[in-house]
Amino acid sequence: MEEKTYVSIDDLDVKSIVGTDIEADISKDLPLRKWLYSWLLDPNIEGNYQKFFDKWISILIVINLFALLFEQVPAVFEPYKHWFHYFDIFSVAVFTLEYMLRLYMAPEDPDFAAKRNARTSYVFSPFAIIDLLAIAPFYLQYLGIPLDLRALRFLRLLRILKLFRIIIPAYQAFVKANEGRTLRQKIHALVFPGTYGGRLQELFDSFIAVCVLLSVFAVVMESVHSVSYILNIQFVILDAVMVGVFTIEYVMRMYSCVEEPGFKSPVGGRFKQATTVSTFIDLLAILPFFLEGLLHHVIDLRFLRVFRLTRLLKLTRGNDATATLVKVLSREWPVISASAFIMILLVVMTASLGYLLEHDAQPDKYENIPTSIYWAVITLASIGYGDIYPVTPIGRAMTVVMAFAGIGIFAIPAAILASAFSDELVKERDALKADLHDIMKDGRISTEELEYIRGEAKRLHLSVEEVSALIRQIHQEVERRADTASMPIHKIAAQPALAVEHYKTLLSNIRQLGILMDPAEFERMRVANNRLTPDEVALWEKIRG
Amino acid sequence: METQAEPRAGGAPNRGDQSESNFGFLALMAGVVIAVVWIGMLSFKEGMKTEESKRNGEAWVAWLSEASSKRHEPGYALAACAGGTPAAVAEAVAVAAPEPAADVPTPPAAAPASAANTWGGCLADMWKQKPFADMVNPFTGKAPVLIEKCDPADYTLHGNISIDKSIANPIGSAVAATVSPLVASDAIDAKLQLTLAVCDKGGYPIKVSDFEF
Repeated sequence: MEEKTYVSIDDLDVKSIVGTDIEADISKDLPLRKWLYSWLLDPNIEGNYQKFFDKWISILIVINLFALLFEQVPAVFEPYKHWFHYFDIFSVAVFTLEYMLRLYMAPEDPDFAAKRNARTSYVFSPFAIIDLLAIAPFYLQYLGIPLDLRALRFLRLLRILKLFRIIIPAYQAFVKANEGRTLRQKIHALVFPGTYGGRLQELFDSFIAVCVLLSVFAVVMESVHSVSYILNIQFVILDAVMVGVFTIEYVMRMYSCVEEPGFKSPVGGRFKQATTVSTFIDLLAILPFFLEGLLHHVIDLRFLRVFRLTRLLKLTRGNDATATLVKVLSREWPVISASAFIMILLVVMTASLGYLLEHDAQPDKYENIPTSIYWAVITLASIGYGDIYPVTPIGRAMTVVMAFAGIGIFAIPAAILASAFSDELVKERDALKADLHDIMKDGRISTEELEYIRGEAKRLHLSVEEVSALIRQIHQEVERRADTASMPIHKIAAQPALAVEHYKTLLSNIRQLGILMDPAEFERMRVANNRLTPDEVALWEKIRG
Repeated sequence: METQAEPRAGGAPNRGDQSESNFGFLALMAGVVIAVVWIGMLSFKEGMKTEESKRNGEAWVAWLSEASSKRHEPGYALAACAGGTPAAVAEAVAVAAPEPAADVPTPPAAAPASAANTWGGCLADMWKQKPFADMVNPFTGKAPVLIEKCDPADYTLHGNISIDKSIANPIGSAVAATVSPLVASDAIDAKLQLTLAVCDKGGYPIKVSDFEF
């Protein structure tokens, strides 16, 4: 069994726990190549620019892919072909710089450092070949080597393979973490956040988020006639690809949900999963495609397209703020429903009075009570479009009274929600504080406990200062509570931090004893009755100083 | 919020019925992928039909726009589509002017407005012209029909073409122009502001272009 590692509270570095603004500990005295490698490419140094570097290279690769796709659309490419060309030059410049840097720093890379010629080994490594393929066509073109445009575009498409530099290490870590686990458990680890997913699960989530944003952006742009007229068929293809991705994700989720606690039954668990809000949203995101594709000859299902916008709600999966809001809403539901009842009562009353008082004067506007309800809501909610308004003196007087009442009544749900939301955050912080008490009572923190603190700090959006203050406060409280004088020695011994404090207290007591008592009398008593051994005397002398 | 996944009993695999369930899952995945590809292909084919209809509409717009610049000139080949000539306009201006200058040459006589100067007459001759004679409505496989209005409820109209004319209202009107379908009896001797649309696979109009005819 793996042995637990612990950190003493005194040695705790909150910055490293919360994981923000960690400064990489890289010596300035390193040789330039090693120093550059440490800052830019070393994945094992926390706080360097390796993740930042990888992230921006990945973003550039994805933009390149889109640029290549849009180049196939003459209506988009022709007017902006210069910009496409400049972007290509910029991308090749960045990728070339990256290639040269990696080549230069290859002797520092542990994968190649041990080889006879590190740079040659790097050049023939798969990643380096991909990197070279990503830029070579550009230079070949300018060297006068004729290349077919389709071959050129295909070679440029290979830039997407550069993403493997990020995906492959994440995949390898995933395989290692899931060694010996079943396919279902592996799929579960990939689609549900947990301890086995690692970086690959994060990449999967990011991929789904990018797909969601892209498909919602496409749905929005489809409503712009000038755009949809040009890109109609591209939107059709994009929608099919996105639905493919979301459908596979849906099936994976439904298949592996039985690994979740509370969803173990093969049928019942999956039904339970299917009826959760987030999975229902997932279904809504893909259903219009299938229904429209299959039934468009029978009925007009174009209205279903609006449900594609529900894909945006997929981003709320795992979003803690949304979870807190749902919790608050369900907790405060009785109060909110009571205030909603009063609101409805007020609206119906106002509409009825408006109809009674204004119908004779404006029969076209206050035609009936349902029509007056529109006016009542617009007035009570302080919107006041002004298309319908009372003209009789008594109607106006009633409106003044009702408008005042409306301000209060309509504000109640908002106030309840705001206050409950704030209460919930305080409760969650108190819960974290209680957990920290438990974690810190033995004076040390295990790596698992550190992981928990990191997760909670992230979930509750706590800054380094807030976590530090919380830990300091709890540490002081624990120390105050720990009155070692009244504690049995075995309880003190069980807590190393307390044991140290107790030892210091004992030493201090001995020193106080040495100061307060008469040394000559002490010496006389010790020698006369032979009460202390020579070792004990030496120790006494040493401590007393 | 999704519940945080915790490993089952230290992540120990529960193989038991896993091979069967894995097979079922993989079969389901394959089925899903096939379904998505199949429906995607259907959507793509339908989308391509709409694209082809748009190309038909664009060909109409190109022909009518080109005709617009020539049909008011004397001797326009397609007599049924000829409009009032610029000379006629010049003559009208000359009549309105108090005294024409002595050295201004007399313009040629304007072509008289006749029954042929209607959209119906023009359309009948237009169909015999090159781009229209070969046109095919991808939804029906027949020649596209000029209809008054696209209607989502009428599936026979998909891929057809509708043209609206826009007539400016007097200054001060609440609405700047009145838009109505171009019908056979409409006179075409004067320039017209037209909007051409094609009906897509759902029967909804897709505006191709605004142009002058």
